[in-house]
Amino acid sequence: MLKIATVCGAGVGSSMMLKVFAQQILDQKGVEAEVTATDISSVDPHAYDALITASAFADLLDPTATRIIRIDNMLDKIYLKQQLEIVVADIAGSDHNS
Amino acid sequence: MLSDWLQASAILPQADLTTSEAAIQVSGHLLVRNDYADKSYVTAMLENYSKNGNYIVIAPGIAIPHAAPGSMVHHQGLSLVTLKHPLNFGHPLNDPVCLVFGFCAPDHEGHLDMLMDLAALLEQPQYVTRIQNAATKEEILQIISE
Repeated sequence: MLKIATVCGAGVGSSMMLKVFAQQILDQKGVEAEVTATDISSVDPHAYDALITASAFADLLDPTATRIIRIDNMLDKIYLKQQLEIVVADIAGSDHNS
Repeated sequence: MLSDWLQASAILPQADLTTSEAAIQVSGHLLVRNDYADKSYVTAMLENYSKNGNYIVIAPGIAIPHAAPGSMVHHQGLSLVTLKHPLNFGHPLNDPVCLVFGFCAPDHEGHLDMLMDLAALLEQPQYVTRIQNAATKEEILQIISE
């Protein structure tokens, strides 16, 4: 089960939209994942396999802590799907090696 | 549908504003006027913008100013200000903004249907352009009811 968090400022707007979109994409692909919406002041990047967030917040997060998907047009589901595919493949690869 | 959430009394078309803060404030006052939230929610919206910045511009031309849920919110609610002159909100890719959807939510999950109906409409560029060009509330209500 993958753990993914969407991150925004208040945990109620863009992170909720991204959570629904990401969960739909992963469900469609048959990837077992739990997507949680959270906010920048309370997120612990180490607790997740990947984070999805706007560039402004991505810049504030430690890039070595976890995989980070930056998304500036939050209505661009095609881009989000491509980025999620890269992350899912990367996670599968690192599990295989460990 | 978005028309389930966006009332005529919460729409201001072709507002002649000069700053992003003014646009956020006007979208917030529409929420207050419809009794969706207390006046203090408008201050919280402006604080979220000054603290967290441009991320409220979720897509090219579209901002969704809001604040965290709390007791100052009475009901979930949505407002729309369309801008006569597009304004910069400080977003490197999505500026300038022409549609400002203010919203408020009493908790984290309850307003999900409203948000998803909004996203479903905004994903279609032809609707965005038409709302942007609409001169009256009636025109906007017509577009979102299609």
